[in-house]
Amino acid sequence: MGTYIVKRILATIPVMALVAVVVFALLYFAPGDPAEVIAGDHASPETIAAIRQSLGLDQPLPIRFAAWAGQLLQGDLGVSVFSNIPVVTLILQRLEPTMSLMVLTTLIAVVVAVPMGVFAASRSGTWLDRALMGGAVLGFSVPVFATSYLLAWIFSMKLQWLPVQGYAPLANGVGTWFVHLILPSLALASVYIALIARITRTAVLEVLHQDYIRTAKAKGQGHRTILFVHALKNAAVPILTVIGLGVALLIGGAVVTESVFAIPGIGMLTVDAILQRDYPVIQGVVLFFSFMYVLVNLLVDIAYTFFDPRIEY
Amino acid sequence: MAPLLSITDLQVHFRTPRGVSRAVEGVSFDVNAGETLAIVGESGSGKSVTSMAVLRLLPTKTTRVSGSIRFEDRELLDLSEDEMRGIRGNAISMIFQEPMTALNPVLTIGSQIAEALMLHQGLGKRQALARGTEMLDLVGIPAAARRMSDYPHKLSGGMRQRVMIAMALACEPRLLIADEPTTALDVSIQAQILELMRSLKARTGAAVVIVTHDLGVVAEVADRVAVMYAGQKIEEASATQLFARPHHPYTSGLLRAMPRLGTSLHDPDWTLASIPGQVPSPFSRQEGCAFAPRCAKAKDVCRRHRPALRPAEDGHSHACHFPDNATGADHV
Amino acid sequence: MGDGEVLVAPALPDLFEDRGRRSALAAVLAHKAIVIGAAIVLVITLMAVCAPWLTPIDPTAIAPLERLKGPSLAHPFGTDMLGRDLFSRVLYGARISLFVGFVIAALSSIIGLVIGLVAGYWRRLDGIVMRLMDALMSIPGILLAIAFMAISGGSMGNVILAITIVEVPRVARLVRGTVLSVRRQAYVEAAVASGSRSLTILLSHILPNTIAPIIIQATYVCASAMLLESVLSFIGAGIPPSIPTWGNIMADGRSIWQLKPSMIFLPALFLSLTILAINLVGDGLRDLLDPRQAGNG
Repeated sequence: MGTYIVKRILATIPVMALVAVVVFALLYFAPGDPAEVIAGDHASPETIAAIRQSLGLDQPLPIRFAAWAGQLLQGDLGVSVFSNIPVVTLILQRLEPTMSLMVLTTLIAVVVAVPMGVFAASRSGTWLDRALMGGAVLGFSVPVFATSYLLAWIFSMKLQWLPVQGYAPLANGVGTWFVHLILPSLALASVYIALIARITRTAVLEVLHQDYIRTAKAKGQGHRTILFVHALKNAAVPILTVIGLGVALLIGGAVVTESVFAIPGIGMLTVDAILQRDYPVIQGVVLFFSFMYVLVNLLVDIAYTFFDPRIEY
Repeated sequence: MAPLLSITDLQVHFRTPRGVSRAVEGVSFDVNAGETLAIVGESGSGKSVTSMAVLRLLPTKTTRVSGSIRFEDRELLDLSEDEMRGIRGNAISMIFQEPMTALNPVLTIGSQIAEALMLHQGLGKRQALARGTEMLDLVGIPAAARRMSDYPHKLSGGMRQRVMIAMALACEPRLLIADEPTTALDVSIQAQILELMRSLKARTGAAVVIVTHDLGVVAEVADRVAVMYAGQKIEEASATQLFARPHHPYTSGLLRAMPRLGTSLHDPDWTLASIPGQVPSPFSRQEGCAFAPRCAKAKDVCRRHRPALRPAEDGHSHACHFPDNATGADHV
Repeated sequence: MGDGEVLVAPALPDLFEDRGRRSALAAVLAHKAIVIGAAIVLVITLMAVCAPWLTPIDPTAIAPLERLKGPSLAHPFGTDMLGRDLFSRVLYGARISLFVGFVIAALSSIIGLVIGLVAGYWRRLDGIVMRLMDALMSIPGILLAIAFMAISGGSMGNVILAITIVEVPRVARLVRGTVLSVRRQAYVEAAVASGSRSLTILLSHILPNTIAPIIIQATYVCASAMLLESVLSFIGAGIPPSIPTWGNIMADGRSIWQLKPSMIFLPALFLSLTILAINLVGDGLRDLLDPRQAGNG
């Protein structure tokens, strides 16, 4: 098990390197000139040339890449064109709201979706199963911003139960933190719930046909224990996998949700950077989230070993 | 004394997309305390379905079970699911064919053995694990204490079947149902497992129903034998009687074709040389004797009238119009 | 619960053989989800195509005196803050959303198919190509598209390009997986052994097997592309704001959504309905074409 974990960690390094190269290449080969984008529509050629020079965009590709990679290795994601603050600093400043949002969303999604999928599987073919899975398809189909506005409209505007927008740091108390975060998290969770519930259903349904479930039943074990211990633990690997893969949706959704609910997180930073044409910030955020995504999936790989004793390479 | 288990006119029908499958059609037999009954038949004969029906392990949504299954004066088919749960793994337990897949791969062997003990005997986790270790020791697993925290994939097939037996016997059941317990094992391991079952049975006094298509197993362990064909019981006798003087032509055919101990009816190189044809489909069971199309002795009456099960000498019974080896008394 | 719901497979004979005698079309038509989904997509497509006949009003015509009007006979969905008719804008928006969705589905399928076939068949290229695809898939899709758009600038072509880059690896992976499993089939190995040319094997034995999974995947790509497009437009990194798209109408509505929630909810409703319909078709097709995978995410 130890060697498995070490191997997984080591395998992550080339993946991250390749991701960095791909991000660089994509933005390099993307049509359009960052300097022109930054300068705006009515800039003079001199301004554009100055920007190009200051960002090192006038250098040949290998030199640009080497400089950029060298910075990256030192944990330097460049400096914001707009505010002149290092991108890493900007990201760290806004880490708490985004992490809060993602962690709470994941908690909600797992707590709701896993039992949902298990019940759907145990009642497969019934109206309950069909209703739950129909709800899941709906969850996939409604865009996060629509869910966000719908929840805000109902709970903040009509019922006035919850604040419309904003974020309260954890330091100010868990209560206000939670009150501000619950709507965005629910909105963001809707897609995630749909994804996890569907996989849970499929995985558990497959497990329920296995011989060992019959053995457990022949032992006199109750329905609930069979579902949530015998079946669910066997279904853990695909469920964990989809929780990890779903983080990509979560990251994308966070950009939208933060901007709808005015949460000053990394998502908002991204949207602002688009409007301000802050090229280094956008690149930095993409890299940051990509690395985070790779690391989350590394954690998921490691978590497999806690659920499935057969995994040891 | 009333029998421990008494099955009367058991019918099991499955609803399937292709129509109704009549897996078991009116089977009756008794199992007395402490005896070993073997149910023998080819696959599709309904023998496994019968054994699963006793513990009500068949899927409720698509299965219709009727008739009567009385165990210790309780009608199992009338019990609530909760009451039934109290019987499973406790008064009646079961061993399955595939030791490789019958154990949960992600739970430790210890927790799987402890499960039934905690459910039925009210033991705490620690006591249940201690008792579980004793059981593993009893079924001959070396270093039992260490094995308790292992996962099933670390064990060989034979070892896993020993674990299954330990699990099944943990609560000292009055009846043990073993569905093809040795089929998936190597021949050398088969003999060991049978020997283990026999010695444990002698120790605990549990009655055993062993479901098998392996006549070698039958000869090895059974007191009495029920032969099933196409969802019906066609012959029943003490093991000695059955091997010495089979009455039903199907049984005779099985015995003639039995080459040696340990060869099963599922082996590809084993052919029912003396019985041409194949088991009729459970979707369309015809009139008359189900075996008639394959029976060398079949006459018109066989194809029109299903022979009733009738008693012969010494508790021997058969369902055939023209039985083999029959004494004069049988034909009146 | 409680009543033995846990499924225990009985020792049944193979009960589910040959049920596929019906023609494929009959099977599709008998599938409720596909029919309902396809019908919704068809209606919305018709609405988009027939927009000029369904509404006389130019979706971009500004009418300062008609700002933020509620629903009326002249403006069934009311007007926005520039007095533009929302009904027209939603109808014309359907054109963009559907066009973007269908084009990206087609492009991603074709590019993904080629990459997947190459990687799955010529194993020497497999390592490099799939590593690249994995790296692309490690970048959260929306962010990848956002970054691409931020540099390339807002235009429909760039939106299509950006989202296609996001979707291609998924298709390529699927095709490669199919190719690898087909390669192991006896008839393909026989063809290899008998000396058939690589290209012949690829086109005559392997390609046909990838069609069904690609069709299913294409529906999901279409739905996902429409979602992504709306997100890009919504946060201001998509199709230029002057063009009425569902995402742009919602982006316009952001600042005044408490005053006029319908500017968010109407386009969102159409978008959700369209995506739901496409997903229904996709799930239904998967049920029919790939029963093994049915119910999978």
